[in-house]
Amino acid sequence: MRTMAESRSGAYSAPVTVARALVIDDDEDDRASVRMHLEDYGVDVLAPDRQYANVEELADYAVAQQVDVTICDHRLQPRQLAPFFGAEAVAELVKRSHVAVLVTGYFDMDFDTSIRQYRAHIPALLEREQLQEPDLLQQTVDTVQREIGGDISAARRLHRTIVRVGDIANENSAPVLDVFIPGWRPSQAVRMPAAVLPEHLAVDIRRLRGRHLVAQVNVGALRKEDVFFGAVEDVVEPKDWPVTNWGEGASLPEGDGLPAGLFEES
Amino acid sequence: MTTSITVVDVGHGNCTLIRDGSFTALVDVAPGDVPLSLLEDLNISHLDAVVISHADDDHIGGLANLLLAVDVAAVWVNGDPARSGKSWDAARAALQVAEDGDRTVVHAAVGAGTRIVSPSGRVALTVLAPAGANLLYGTGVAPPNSGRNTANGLSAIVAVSVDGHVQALLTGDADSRAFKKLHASKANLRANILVFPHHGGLSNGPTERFAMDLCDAVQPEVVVFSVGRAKRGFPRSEIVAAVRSRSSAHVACTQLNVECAVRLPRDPSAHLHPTASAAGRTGGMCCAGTLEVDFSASAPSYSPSLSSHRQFVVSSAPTRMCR
Repeated sequence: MRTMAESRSGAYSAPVTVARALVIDDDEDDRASVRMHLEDYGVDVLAPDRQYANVEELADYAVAQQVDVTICDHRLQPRQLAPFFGAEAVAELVKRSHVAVLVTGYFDMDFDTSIRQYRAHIPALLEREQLQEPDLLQQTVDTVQREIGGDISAARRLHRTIVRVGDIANENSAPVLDVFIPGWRPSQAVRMPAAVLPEHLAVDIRRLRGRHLVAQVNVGALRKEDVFFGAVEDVVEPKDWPVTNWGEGASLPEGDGLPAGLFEES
Repeated sequence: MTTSITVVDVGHGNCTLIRDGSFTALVDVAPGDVPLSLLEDLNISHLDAVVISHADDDHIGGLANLLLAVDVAAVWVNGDPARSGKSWDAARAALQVAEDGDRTVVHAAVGAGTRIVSPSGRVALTVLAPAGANLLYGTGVAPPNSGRNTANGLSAIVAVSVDGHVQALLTGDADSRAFKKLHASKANLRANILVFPHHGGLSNGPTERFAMDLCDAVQPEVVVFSVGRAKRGFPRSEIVAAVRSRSSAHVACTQLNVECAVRLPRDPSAHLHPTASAAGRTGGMCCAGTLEVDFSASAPSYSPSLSSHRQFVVSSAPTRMCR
């Protein structure tokens, strides 16, 4: 029986090997397929057919199973396994320092929206066919473990920067903002899910078109699909430059700082 | 006390860190995380000065990241008000945030005569070009008896001196016309390190002649091309050839050009600066990578050393332009 880390190279390449895994997937065939691949490599697989009412319930259950990794499908809703996306569940598990990997067969459709929304807490994800690469799964688990331990790669570290909102659109029925991030790549637009906006900005996203926002972005990302957002702070409001300094010792008049009666604007 | 000049591998773009004890300054800030990572690795959370040569993306794109991450006492920036570029707009927004926080003084031009000196007096950044009077015309305008100003033509040229000797000439994207004016004014361009203008690309004039004339004027010991492997054609082969024909200077590209090595080397990082962040490090794409020159001892010390870099080039770049 081979462990996942030695399957390809013939030698252990990672400090921890996966011995026990929890698989969460709403599709019975996919659950069985993942189980088969992992069991081939000696992994003890737990793949329950159960539903979860909310993210907390799923996270509580996963943590209680004491597995080395939880492998969670992204689209959990089609067969009513859960009313939320797997990305949200994985982000919650990682926040609880539980090793979890997101898996999806819908990466191209979902990475701009429901995945990017939670990506700040998803250190690594796999496309479904990549689960057949045991070394890759082990590397992914190692990456997640390192990030939980505070070792965040340069490509995933968030930095405050300025983003410019281009268009507002809808994707998968969710509102998105197409933004430019000059501190990353000035000419490439990236979809920002409106769900990452704070409440005071989310009220009317149409007014954000053409505006600059202060936001956290991983500007070291190597690929567009790896870009994600942390806290979005506020709009940089264009300024009507006031007169603020009349010279040392001078007292500032009320209002706009200009004496009444001079240069009045109509 | 560290006194150093570090030409940072940011890929295609420019960023140079100058340090003298607690004094720190950056000239140009390309996009990406590398300038920030470098500062963090060096525990630098305050910059005394940032000089932006001009408003092209690969020189100003990272300014917003920088201003929102560390305290910057003063920024000198050659802007481009007529332009509506995304980097320029974002830089303006970030400058507004920094200025509103009373953290940063913004100087809206970098003209000849601007001089920034470290408290010890050992290190000075002196702006040689463009002339302030020319800057007043802005880009897209033709001053009397002159051609139309371009962003590259108004790019700042900064001489960095240590103990009164010019060690590095940081040229941004300055073109042949800018150097012609400097030469006409009898400016002394001699410097040990030449960070070649426009990443070794076109110069708004006869390309090879420009490279030769520049080498004659600067007489550098080291010529650096700040380039990214992914951006083909930088540096141009005829420029490297012209530099080699006119000078025995050590040629150092920050990243390994595809023209020099189609395949990436097996051992891409043994010769590099041991700790400095470099954009090409992760993908094994560095040539010289980030190049630091330390002036703490009596003689300047390079990291990577010029000999180890040369050895790497000879062993890893079979079709090297620098021969």
